[in-house]
Amino acid sequence: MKTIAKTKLIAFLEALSDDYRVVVPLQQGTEVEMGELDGGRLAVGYRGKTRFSAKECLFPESEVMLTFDNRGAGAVETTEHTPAEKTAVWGVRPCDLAGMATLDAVFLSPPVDTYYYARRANTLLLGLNCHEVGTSCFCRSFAAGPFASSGFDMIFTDVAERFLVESGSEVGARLLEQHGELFAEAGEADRQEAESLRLAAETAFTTTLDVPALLVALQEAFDDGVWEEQAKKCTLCGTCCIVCPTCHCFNVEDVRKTRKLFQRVRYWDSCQFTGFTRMAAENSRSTQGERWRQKIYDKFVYLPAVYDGLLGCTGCGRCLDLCQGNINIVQVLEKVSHGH
Amino acid sequence: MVTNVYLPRPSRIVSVREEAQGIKTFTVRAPEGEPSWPRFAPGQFLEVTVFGVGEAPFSITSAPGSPGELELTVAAVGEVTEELHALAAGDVIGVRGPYGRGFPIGDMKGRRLLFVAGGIGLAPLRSLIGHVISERDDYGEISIYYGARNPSLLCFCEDLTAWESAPHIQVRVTVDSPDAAWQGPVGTVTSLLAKEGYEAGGATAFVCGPPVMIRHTLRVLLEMGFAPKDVITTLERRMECGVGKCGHCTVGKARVCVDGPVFSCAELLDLKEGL
Repeated sequence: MKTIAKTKLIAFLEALSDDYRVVVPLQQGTEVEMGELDGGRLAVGYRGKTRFSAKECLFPESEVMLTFDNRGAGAVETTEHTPAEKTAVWGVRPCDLAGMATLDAVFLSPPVDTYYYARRANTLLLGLNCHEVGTSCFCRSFAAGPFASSGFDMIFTDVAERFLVESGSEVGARLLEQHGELFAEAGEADRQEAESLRLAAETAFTTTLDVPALLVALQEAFDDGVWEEQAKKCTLCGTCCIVCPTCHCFNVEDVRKTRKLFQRVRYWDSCQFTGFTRMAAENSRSTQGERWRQKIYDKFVYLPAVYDGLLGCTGCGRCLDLCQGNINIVQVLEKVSHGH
Repeated sequence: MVTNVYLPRPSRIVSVREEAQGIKTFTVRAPEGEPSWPRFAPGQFLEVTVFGVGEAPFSITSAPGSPGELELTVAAVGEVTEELHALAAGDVIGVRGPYGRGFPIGDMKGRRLLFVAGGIGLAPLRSLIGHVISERDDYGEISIYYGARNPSLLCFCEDLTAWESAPHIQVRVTVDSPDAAWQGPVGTVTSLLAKEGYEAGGATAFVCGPPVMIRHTLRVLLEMGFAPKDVITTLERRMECGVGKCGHCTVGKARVCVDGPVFSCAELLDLKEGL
């Protein structure tokens, strides 16, 4: 275990930028957003979470998959756009690291998704534990936070003037060694301080979800009126899916670039949109209640059934913060679990 | 290096046949550089790229195996399908697949088989019927009930005639709206089947058609005494990736592209959103 002075963090990140595109939390007005290291003011000691999840580093909002060059007479030349850029992401919160485990399950289970695989292999994840818990945070209910236990190459803990740093992978350990001049050995006092921060954070949650009770309740709640009732408040904006660290649905579209060049692009989609299941014959989810229920069941019932118990929620709370219809999913789910 | 599962392989259209009003059957050669199609089962589908337009899934219409050519039957109902209809012999499309879980051929041996299809829903069943006829002695009597909205929308008329003349195959064709020349039964295929009756014992039923027809027919077959596990259907859902990632085609926990598109009625009864 090592420590690094907060004043030296920038030196470490700049050193990484020799080999990696470096993505960090940037202070943007009152919000903190992930962005490139040279794109703004590094939010070194940021509290809470970035407004959007860090999933975009592995699964971008839109990406070009293929280019088709139509040469005529049936000759089409196809170019694959497999991402090759190496990226280091610093400041990833435990809830987002946990979300990446769900993305891994979806995209890396056979058949492997080429684009996600390449990006995943080329991405260094440098996590940042949460020593302060937001009012909408409930990651503790999933054991996803406030401190991360896996899913990172390195994990940082904010301890006053410095970060406590641990490696979580061979690459992370090698980097710690390689940049040894920036790091110092952690002492017992550092460890104890981190531990007391963890304990304090763990008891600071004001939002909690009884996950075991919910999983039981959902077995009988499919036909509950609660879904249609809540959906009345839904504005169909899809924000809950956009900000979610585990939502992974995408649409694919061919976009004309020139007369002969076409790009096949995929971009985030949302099961909350009316067109998500629309076909020529009919729409298999025709009401917003069905779509709202789908979001909940997919995260808590279907995904775990397909991917060995893995849940599609990490308790990051962003969908509570940003719901345009002011729907508090946790309150709704607690009602489902513990009666109306 | 990971194989890019999203990469379409160029395949040439060998011929195009007008199947019915607004419906064409495309014969497609194995992808360039491949001597034959990968082995496929009846009920599986291909993701087809019309270059410059987009991609959509279509069930394979022809009988299985590893032939040099296979057939896709497509109704022009959207952007990709309309542009596909504009293509001709010699044109190149992109293909991925075959994908999905086909019909449970192993469980059908020795049984009587009932096929119930509406409109272009006969397309995936035609692949299975072709396979069954190629191994005719392995199965009991075959009944095919087929319906369309009107006579101009009936697909595979030559096949229907050929099947009718084969031994121990009964073919019944009906339309909702007859024209002056129509001499057959009038009404939906499900009501014709219900009226004529069918002995469910020892039989397996296969159903495909528009979603509302499938739901209605499954109910009728259960009422006729079929066990849910002996009623098999194949579902259509909006798909993007075809390989279980994009989230569009789910029916409860099942992804139609990888867990289906073929499901037994018992499986659907078990799935949330199934029936």
